[in-house]
Parts: sequence; C-alpha cells; structure tokens
Amino acid sequence: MFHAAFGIACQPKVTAVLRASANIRIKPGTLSLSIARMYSATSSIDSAEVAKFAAASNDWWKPNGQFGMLHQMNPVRMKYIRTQTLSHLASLPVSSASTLASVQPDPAAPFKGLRVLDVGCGGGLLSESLARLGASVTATAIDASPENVAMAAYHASLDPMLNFDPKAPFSLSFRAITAEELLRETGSVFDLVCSLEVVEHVNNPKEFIGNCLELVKPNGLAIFSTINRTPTARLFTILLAENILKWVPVGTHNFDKYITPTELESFVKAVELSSVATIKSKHEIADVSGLAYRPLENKWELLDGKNSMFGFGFAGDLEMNYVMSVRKLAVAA
Amino acid sequence: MKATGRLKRTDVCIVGGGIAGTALAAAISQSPFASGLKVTLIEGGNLFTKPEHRPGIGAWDRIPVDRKKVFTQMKIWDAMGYGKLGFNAPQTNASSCIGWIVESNWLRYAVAQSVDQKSVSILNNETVESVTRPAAPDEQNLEWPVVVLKDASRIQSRLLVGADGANSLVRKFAGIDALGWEYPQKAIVATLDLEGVEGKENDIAYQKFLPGGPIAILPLSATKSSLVWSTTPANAAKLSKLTNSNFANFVDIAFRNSVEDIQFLFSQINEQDGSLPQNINIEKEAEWGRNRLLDPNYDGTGLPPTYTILPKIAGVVEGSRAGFPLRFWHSENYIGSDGRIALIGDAAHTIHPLAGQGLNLGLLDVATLSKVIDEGVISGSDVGNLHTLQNYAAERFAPNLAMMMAVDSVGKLFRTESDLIVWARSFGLNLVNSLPAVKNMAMFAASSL
Repeated sequence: MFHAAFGIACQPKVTAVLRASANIRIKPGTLSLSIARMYSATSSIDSAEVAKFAAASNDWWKPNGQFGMLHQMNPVRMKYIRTQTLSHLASLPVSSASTLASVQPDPAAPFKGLRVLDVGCGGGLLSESLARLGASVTATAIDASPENVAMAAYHASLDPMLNFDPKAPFSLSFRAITAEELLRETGSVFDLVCSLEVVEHVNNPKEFIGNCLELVKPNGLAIFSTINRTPTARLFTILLAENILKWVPVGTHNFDKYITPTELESFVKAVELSSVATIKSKHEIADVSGLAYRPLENKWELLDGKNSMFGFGFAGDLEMNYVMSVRKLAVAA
Repeated sequence: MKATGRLKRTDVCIVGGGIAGTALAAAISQSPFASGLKVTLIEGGNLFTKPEHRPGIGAWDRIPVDRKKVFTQMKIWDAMGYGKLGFNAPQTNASSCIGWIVESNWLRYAVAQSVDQKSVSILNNETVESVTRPAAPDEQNLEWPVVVLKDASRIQSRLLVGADGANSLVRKFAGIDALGWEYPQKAIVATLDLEGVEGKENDIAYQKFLPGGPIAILPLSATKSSLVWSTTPANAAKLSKLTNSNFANFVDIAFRNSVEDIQFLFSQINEQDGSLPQNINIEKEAEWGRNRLLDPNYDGTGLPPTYTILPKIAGVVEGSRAGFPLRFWHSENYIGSDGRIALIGDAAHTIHPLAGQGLNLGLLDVATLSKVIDEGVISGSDVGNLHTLQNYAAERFAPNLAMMMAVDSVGKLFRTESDLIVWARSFGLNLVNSLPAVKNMAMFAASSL
C-alpha cells in the first residue's frame, strides 16, 4: 500500500515507519530529516536507518530498560492528566466548552475532540497514551531532533489501533519542530499542552514555559512535571538512580537545572505580563501534586501536595518529582 | 503445512469460553472504560446452546430456580474420629446465606448472555490449532502473539488470555511452567435424588472426611443435591461400575456407616462388572445405617454433628455420573515474561475440589484482570504491555497460592489414618467449631467474592 503511495521498494518493516512518519522526509544516506506536509511528501528511506530507529525504539521501550522508571510512572501521570483535564473542562461555562469535548465525555475516549500537544515526547510514551484517550495529538521532540521523532514514530506505528491520519477524529503525529517554531506556525490552538519531565533539560526554562503556555488556546490547560531542587531529589535522582543503581545513564540529570515549584509558578505567571503574550489571559495554578516512587511495591503514587514539612528543609509531597496544572483563562478585553 | 489464511487484529483474544473466559469477555464488554476494546472469544463448543429449554429473563435470573440453590448451613465431620464442624449463615437478615451452588453449564449460559456483542466477537465451535510468535510478513512488525485457527485464519492480539483449562495451549506457548502433582485420588460426581431432607427445604451442605478423601453433597434444589466424592483410583473405578441404585445406596452408606463397613463393601464390589455378591443386600445395609443414627447409645465416632438428620439418598439422575482425575497445578507466573499473555482460571491453577473453591478463584482472576484492563484503558496504556499486566500477577498470585495450599493441607490431613493425626484433627475441628470468630473467618474466606 505505502510502497505504491511513496513509490519506493523496501523491506516490509520499513512500511511501518512510513505510516507514522509520512510527514517527515528522510534523505537517503543521511540523518537529516525535514518537515513536510502529510501526503505531499516524496519520501525515500534507507532501510539501515530504519533498523537504527527500530533498535533505538526497542531500547527506549524495554519495560525494564533505562526508561523503566518512566514506564512505571506513566499510568500515574496519565491518570493525573485525565482527571485534571476533565475537571477543567467541566468547570468551564458551557459556551466556552462547546468547542471542546462534550460535557459528558465518553469514559472510553474522554479526550475525543481535544487537540493535544506533547512537547518533548521522548520515545512517545505519553503521546501514545494521550492518543488512546481519543485526542488528536501532536508530539514534538524537545530539541526538534529528527532521529528522536523518527524513533517515537516507529514505535507508535507498531500499534495498528493508533491512527496517523491527521484528518481522523483522533490521531497522532510526530513532528521535528521546536515549541517556538510551532507557535509561529499554529498560534494558540491546543486545548491541552503537556510537557512532562522536560523542563529540567532545557536551557531557558522561563522562555520554554512561556512558549508552551502560548500554544494553549484560551480556556485551555497546560500540565508540566519536573524535579524539585532539593537535597533529597539530588540524593535519589542523581546519586542513587545514576551512580549507584545505574537505572539511568550518568549525566541524565543536572541538579542545577532542577526547578522548585515556586520558580515554576513564577515562570507561569511571568508570561501573563510578557510581550510574548498575544492574547490577554490569566494563568491560574489549578493544582500542584507530588509523584513518589514506592520501591517495595515498584509503583509510583500521586501525592496531593498537602503534606508539607517546611522548617526541616523538606518540601513534603513536592520533595522530588511534582506535576503542576495551569489553567489559561481568557480575560475579557 | 496449511497455507496461512486471513489475519484479524483484536485488542484482547480470549482462548476458552468456560465460565472464566466468558465472564472476562462479559466484564470487558460491560465496562464503560474497556468497552472500546475489541475482544475475540474462541470457544470449542457453543456458548448459546441452552442446557435445557427454559424461559429466562435477566443474568442471574436466567438460571432456573431448580438449577441454583442457596445454602445456609454446612456440616462437616470426620469418619475416623469425633471431629465435627457446623456453619450457619448469619441470622441477621432474611437473605443471608453461606453460598450458592449452581450448575456450571447454566452459569456459563447465563454469563454468555451478559456478553455485549457490540465489542466482543464470539467464535463458537472453533478450535485453536496453535499459538505462535508473529512470523508472516503481515504479522512481523508487531510483537503481538498470533492464534491460528483450524481453517488457518489467524488472530493477532495485543493481549492473549489463556482461559483454556489445565492443559492450556496458551500457557505452553508462553513457556510458563506449571508446578504441582496429581493427587492419588479421582473425583466422582453425580446428581442425586433425595428423600427426607432436614428442615423445610434442602439448604444444607454435608461433607464427611473418609480416609480415601472427602465425600460431599451440595444442595441443587428441594429434592436434588450434587455429589463430589474424592477417593482412591481403585475405589473410583469400582464406584463407576455400580448400577445407579447400588451407587445411590453406596453413597448413602458412605455418609452414615463406619469406615470399616465402607471398606468392606468396597472389597466386595466386583472389579470387572461392578456386581455385588448375592449375600450382600446393600439396600438393607443402607437402612441399617439410617437407623443407627437414631440409636442414642452409639458412641458418635464418624457420626454427623448432633441434630443432623441426613437426607436419604434415594437415587441418581440418569446420565449425571462422571469421574475425573484430581490434581494440584500452579503456574509459575500468570503473565508472559514480556507481557502480552495472561492466564486465568484453571489455565493458571488447578485445585482440589474439596472446598469448592476452583470456580471462585477463577472468578477472582477475572475480577482482577478486568480491573487491571480498566486501569490500563483509563491511563491510555497498551493493555497488553508488561507494566499493565504486572498488576494482575501481583494481585492474584499469592492469594491463589495461599488458598490452594490451605485446601491441599486440609485434604492431606484428612487422608491420613494415623491415630495421632485423627485425634488432632478431631480436636481441631471441634476447636474451630467452638470458636465462632475462627469459623466466621473460615466461612468468609471460602465464600466471599
């Protein structure tokens, strides 16, 4: 089918990548990929490259590999996103909610009709989950890395129940583009923008958060998660996870880039005042919750953020990983 | 080798439409979350054939009243000693009971009616030829396992559920070992006609521990009970050759007479044709046993608990007798090492029937697996992946094994004839009988779902 559509002959494995990354043009023999529109691409592909993405994707998705902890965490953060989004939608006045999911969402596909952006998709873990909830998902790599996008697209293409046609009511597309570029292209169009475990890896978090929030449409929602800059977080995420237990490669985390909830909140608020903001809106912190790993049960757990032990130098529930949801409320001009 | 046929993809493929497999299909199809998943249920027989023609309405109501029976008392005693144990349902409300006894073909039929066929496709009269890893060019991009049917058509699924019984093909494909042993016993089952039931209606379950294994009757209707008798293979072979009327009398005797009596009678059965010598009148033997219960001077060894008037076993329902081997098997894991596979019911564990817990364990598997699938759908996960399925294995493995070991130990304890152990178990049964809290706990564990 796709052989014919793209006019190329390749191994059967290759067709899978093409299904998902049809909007990426891959030049033979190089790793440079550029964005092209779906259906207008005249692609050709090197099967050695596909094998490389497949291998990278296999590594990324190994249940007990270096991203195993992230895999364990995903259902918990997904439940958080689901709950926060549905309660946000329910709280909106009927007129502004009319373009969003219906007031009584289908429990099997509650994000139907929502346009969702996953900024910094990694192997596509969160993006696939969001698409399964019925959303129309755009996923981008943090550094607009085409290799990363191809790797994530490869894995998603392995699930025949995911839809990659952007015209379908729910779909998934991976794009090698920065948040800034995407903002120039689309403007504020997303009902929900998620950027999880990403902000601690970017160089200018304040600007990054600003761009993410700009991509949210008025009365939409943004959800960020990151690691708090506390001694406990340093002990667990760097000393234990990287150096002693070798769960993740040494150098994965940079302690100085960790962000406290107060800092994150100040970045969120700063956009309201900045010149980037094109639409007048108010950013309201809807919730801040902690995410804790329970080693004995090998499970992550959501902490409601109410348990704090300030005074001992501890931040309680928000001591390590935490997640924040921000409502972007339209302000009448 | 046959040419490969049509390939169909589905989210969940359930192999085996027994009660567990059918209940899982029903649970997924009725869940507001998981009903979006496509399910295929493969069954060797036909799920929609009514066991007998009867009118029906709702799910539980589809089971005719004379095919299900509540029981409010259980009476358990030891053939060798004085141990007796009686359970009564809490008397606090009118609907209280210890449990229900239901004919399994009716239960399955009723569960099958609850499957919503919008999301479930049921393949009746279908045989699984093999389960394989993806191979053909159209399968190999996916790690999902492939089920090959007899017409060579294939079903590839993100989650393959083995509900295909003790000799599970799915378990073999997943390379999951099952550990266990055959019991030195066979089970004899039958539906019995009763006369002179205790109280107004037949609502008491009786179980007597004989040296060869326990014999139990469980109420089915006002005048019918279901027999489960575990005994040595030699005795089982002899029992299966008896005529229906001799069999009924023999069961009657097994409940009332002494172990020596029963052993003597077994020795008299002709191994070849199941006939009894002329000088033995088994009818009279049974009558003597019934009268002995009324004798106030008898010392009570091997007698049922006080105030028990055992019903007379008057006959056997034609065609209801069967025998099968007993075993204790437990799979090393309930899920595949890379996910994609889950085992439920007898495919995961086979248990001694003495406490009637096999179906209950299977239904608990179904409840947990469907909950885990729901959670997977809620969080947008691939419901066949290892991280989703791990929660199923973590929740069911240990409790199932604990129940199996408990039932196994009770069985072992009661198979022995050593005096010390006979004394100890009599003491144990009586002790349990005198401690209401312990009894309630045992009853709760055996009947709660």
